[in-house]
Amino acid sequence: MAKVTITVNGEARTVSVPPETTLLKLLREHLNLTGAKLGCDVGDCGACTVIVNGKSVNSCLMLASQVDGFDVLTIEGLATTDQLHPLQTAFEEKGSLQCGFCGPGVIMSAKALLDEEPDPSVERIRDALAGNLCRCTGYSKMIEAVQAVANSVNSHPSVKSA
Amino acid sequence: MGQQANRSGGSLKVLGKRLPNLDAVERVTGRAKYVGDIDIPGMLVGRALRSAQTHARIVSIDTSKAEALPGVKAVVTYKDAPKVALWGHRGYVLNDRVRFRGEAVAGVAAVDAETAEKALKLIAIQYEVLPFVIDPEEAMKATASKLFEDGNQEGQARILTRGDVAKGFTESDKVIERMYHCPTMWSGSLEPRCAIAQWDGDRLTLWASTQAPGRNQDNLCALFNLPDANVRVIASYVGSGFGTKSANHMDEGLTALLARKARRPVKLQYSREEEILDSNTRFETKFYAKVGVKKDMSLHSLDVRCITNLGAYHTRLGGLGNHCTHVYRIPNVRTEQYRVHTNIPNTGPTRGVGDPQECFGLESLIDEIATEMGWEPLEFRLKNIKRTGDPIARGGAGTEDGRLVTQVLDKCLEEGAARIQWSRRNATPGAGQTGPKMRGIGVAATERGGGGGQGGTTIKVFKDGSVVLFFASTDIGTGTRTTLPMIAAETMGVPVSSVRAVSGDTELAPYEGGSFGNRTLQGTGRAVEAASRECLRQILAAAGPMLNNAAPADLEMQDGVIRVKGQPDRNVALSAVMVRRGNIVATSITNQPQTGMDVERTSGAHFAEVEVDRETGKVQVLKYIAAHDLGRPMNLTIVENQLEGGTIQGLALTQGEEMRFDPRTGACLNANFLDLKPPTALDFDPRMLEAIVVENESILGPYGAKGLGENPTHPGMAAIANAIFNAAGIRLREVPFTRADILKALSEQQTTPGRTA
Amino acid sequence: MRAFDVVTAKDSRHAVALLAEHAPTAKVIAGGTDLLADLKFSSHGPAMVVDISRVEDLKAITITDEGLSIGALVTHTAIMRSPIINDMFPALVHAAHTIGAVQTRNLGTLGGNLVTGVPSMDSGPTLMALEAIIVILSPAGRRQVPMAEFFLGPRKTVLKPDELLAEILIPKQNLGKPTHFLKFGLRKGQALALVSAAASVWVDVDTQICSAPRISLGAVAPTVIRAPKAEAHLDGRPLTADAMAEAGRIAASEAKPISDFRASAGYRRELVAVLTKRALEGAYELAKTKRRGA
Repeated sequence: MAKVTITVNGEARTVSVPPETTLLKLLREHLNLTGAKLGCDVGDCGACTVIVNGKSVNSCLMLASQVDGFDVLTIEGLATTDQLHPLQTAFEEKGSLQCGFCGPGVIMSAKALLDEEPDPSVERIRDALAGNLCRCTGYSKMIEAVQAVANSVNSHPSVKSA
Repeated sequence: MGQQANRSGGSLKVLGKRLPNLDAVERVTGRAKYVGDIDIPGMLVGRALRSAQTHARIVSIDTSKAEALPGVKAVVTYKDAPKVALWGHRGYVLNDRVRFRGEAVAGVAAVDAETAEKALKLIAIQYEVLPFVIDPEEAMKATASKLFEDGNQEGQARILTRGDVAKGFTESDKVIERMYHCPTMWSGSLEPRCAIAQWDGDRLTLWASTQAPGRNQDNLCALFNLPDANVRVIASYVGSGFGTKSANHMDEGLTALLARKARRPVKLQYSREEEILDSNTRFETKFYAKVGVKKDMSLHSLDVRCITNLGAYHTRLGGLGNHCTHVYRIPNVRTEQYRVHTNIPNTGPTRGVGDPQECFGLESLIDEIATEMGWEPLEFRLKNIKRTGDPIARGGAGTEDGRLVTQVLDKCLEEGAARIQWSRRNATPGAGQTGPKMRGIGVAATERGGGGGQGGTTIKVFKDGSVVLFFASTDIGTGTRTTLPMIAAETMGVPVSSVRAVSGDTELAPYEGGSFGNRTLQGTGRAVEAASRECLRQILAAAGPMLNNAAPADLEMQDGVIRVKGQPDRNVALSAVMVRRGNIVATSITNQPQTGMDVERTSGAHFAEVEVDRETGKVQVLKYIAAHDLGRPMNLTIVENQLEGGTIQGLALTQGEEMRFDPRTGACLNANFLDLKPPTALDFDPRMLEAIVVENESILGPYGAKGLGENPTHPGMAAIANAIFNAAGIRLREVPFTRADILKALSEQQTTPGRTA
Repeated sequence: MRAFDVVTAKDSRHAVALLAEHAPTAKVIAGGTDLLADLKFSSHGPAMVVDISRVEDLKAITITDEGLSIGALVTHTAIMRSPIINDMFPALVHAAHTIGAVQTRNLGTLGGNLVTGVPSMDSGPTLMALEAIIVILSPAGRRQVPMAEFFLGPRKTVLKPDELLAEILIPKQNLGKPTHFLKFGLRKGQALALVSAAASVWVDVDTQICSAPRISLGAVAPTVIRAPKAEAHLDGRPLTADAMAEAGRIAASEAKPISDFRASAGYRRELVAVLTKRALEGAYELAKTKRRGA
């Protein structure tokens, strides 16, 4: 068994898992964080996207032991009980999701983008979401939502994303 | 988007507005629990053993080693499977014969995934290998290997006929014959199929990723010989479906079988590869068509022979032929559809029952005959399309015994043409395009039923005035958990924020088959409107005594406040009434309204502008207009989502998603996303796509609504093929339009001097 | 996935020691984007996985006396963001950008892409057109292998089980060499290369005569390859439109594509001609304004 200590959504957690356990499996089956989804398990669909040390990754393609000591942010860590993250609000208001299965991954990709690039062009947003497959939408309302957050952050410099 | 129509006789407060989905917060926070996210104490992990044979008889199957493996709690094979066919299906949950490569031949339930996977490898099977057939026309031959005792053809050919096509062709001034081919295409969801089964004595609860809890319940009752009261199917959050989940599938029965044998709950989730190989995917069609026209620009005769490749077991797909008979006024029509089983995975309806495939064939053919005659293809369509008041077949059969109403295909064509600036197209296809990139514009039309059928709901008003709708159909991303509460809010006069929906639970709501075929908004929506009226009636009756015994007829409710009409000061809050009255519950089960001669359909027209790279064959869509009739829009945001997403799904078929099978082995060669190539956010620039809602109002739907989930996916293939023809003068009759095929067609065009463009 | 053990290397020396200890049944994991995807479907996984993702001394991008050194563990994202690489080799940035998507580029490493040995690898053609050298560490020490000799066949490289790909070196004489990379896939996002081509060339600004043209092709032979005859056709001549088109045609004759369900050999060959021509045009465009050594 591999002993893994990670900070998940701000809380330190220590878990013993078989060495071949992926980060996605650790999150879903050992920490009961089921927001990240298993869509393909080979990094083609992005449904499992989480942010590790500030970078978006496919959690199905990392071993749990590879994130030992790292900071992991999942969709569950974005909203507080009474306050959605601005991206979540924008995705809600713009109707960006349909079935929503891809949603947690898409939002985490968008979050990673905006953290590094507060005012991305449409092309940059499309590039940042290209690792997240969606079968329902044409991606347009997702892109609109990311733009809306970018614009609001820029017009109110004091508002920082969580 | 077009302006919403004003409802005659009153303004709408809720419907027609943009409103975020009522369950969006669950979806954006990751709190929404899809079946795969549900955990039940003591739950086992289920896995299916999938055969590497393409066609074989199971001679023996030995599960003893697997059963002996510590941690294995149940192993099932065809011997355990009830001899009851699945819904719309020839097969059982497990069969004593393998009819496609990847078919499940056994199931295992174990304490964890690793043990279950180990156990699969311990199952020993001896096969008698049989010859296989994957081409539907090969399968129709007498010499072909047979999948079933009675042959490979499913039932009789389905023939729709009116007039006399042979006579029609002799009367025609020009007749052409063409063949259009759509391959088997992956049409699955991002969420892999998943089911959880739990038995409590002889009561079964099944959580399933399904569009059709009702059909699932029906089939599970049949499989286990149980009354409907003993089977509960729950499908709350469903990761889309598009038709592939519109009936029960073998995984649901298998999960229930495993759970019954193991006496513990079992979860069985497909891998991506399993989802691709064993869902009910978009079926292959070979569309042989012959069309005749007269010099006066009228369509005169149409004869279509269509062969559909059902794959191994599926039997449905009866719908083909509707476009041929319903879109255009043609005096002589005959369509003949053969449904053929082959040794490829199961297929099924996907955003239409063959509608995209039929639309591709018909709308390409219409373009081709127009080109042959030197007619402008839009003008030709506008001259021949059916319009309101035209005769139409009521039962879907050929005889035109009804009258078409609320049809606005003409407006879809005209508004779309204006928006794309149709006059910019090349007057002579491919002419004058000398640069490395060639541009052109094309059009395609479509139509289908607007949904409906029987619907049911139960509505409960709580003491605080909040309202919950219960219905057994599902919201698979279609927004019905928002639009149906909006209908209730509109009808009752309560704020939409006080209404929510509990969907997809067969125990809590009246029976409905599920959500498919554009049906839920109209079918369930009518029941919601009726039950809401009943709730309102009871509320007003209870409010009367609190308002100086005002008669219910003199009362109205707005924003959750009951008041005397014309005297807004005399009012009482709904919550005050409900505290005294206690819960109000109303149930409604509604049937399709009788409309006599009137037949209502829903239509659309797509316009594409493309650019073709002469050197590589690459096609880029520069502009795309999707103009649709959907009756009155209930929620413009949801409407746009359906129009945009459906359109992109249709466009995706032009560039990928074809399932390729190795002719030597029958194996699927590309059961992964990398090779199926579903579009990413980079593939179609969303800014090139514009959706137009054509003003209209339904006679059938609640508040004039028509369903629209399926239609936006239909015209993409034909619109793009017609646009490529306009750009480059090459005609593509095989989907997808591969870059290699385009380059080949371009080089053949160059080496064929004098070829008409 | 089958069970295995994981050992984590602290630095490159430790990684080499661990590999020596556990070879031949060990596999190396860096970004994991290829290895884990493979292991999930493999029926005979390794007993031991050596995790080198924390080996910091293989993550640097530096100019040395030998040239530009890129550590094997530099991610595709890091390549895209490197000021040095953006300045000297925009083609490498572009090649990195065509790999997978943001998530896989954040994980996947340059060394990891090369050791797959697949002919369609996106990092291969540009590096080969720049005559990159592969630096390999093992208990025996350090050895250098020219990129053109690194690949032996599909999924086969010269790496022995106890050897570690440590760095990729672009030789000094090629620093800043005008280079262009093109990839042709069947969709825009997460595309698999049907054909890819890279060209590098020096051009005399005064005479427009080209020297040291290097053309490399991906996905059209058992490994990433050079197209020496096409190169020879251009060497010492002005880069005219006709010359570049002809080089494309020659390159097409040098390619050895296969027909598979993704595309026919014939179509791949046609693409080689077009992509080679366009890659040369792109490199020439850069070269027009760039003096050698400037």
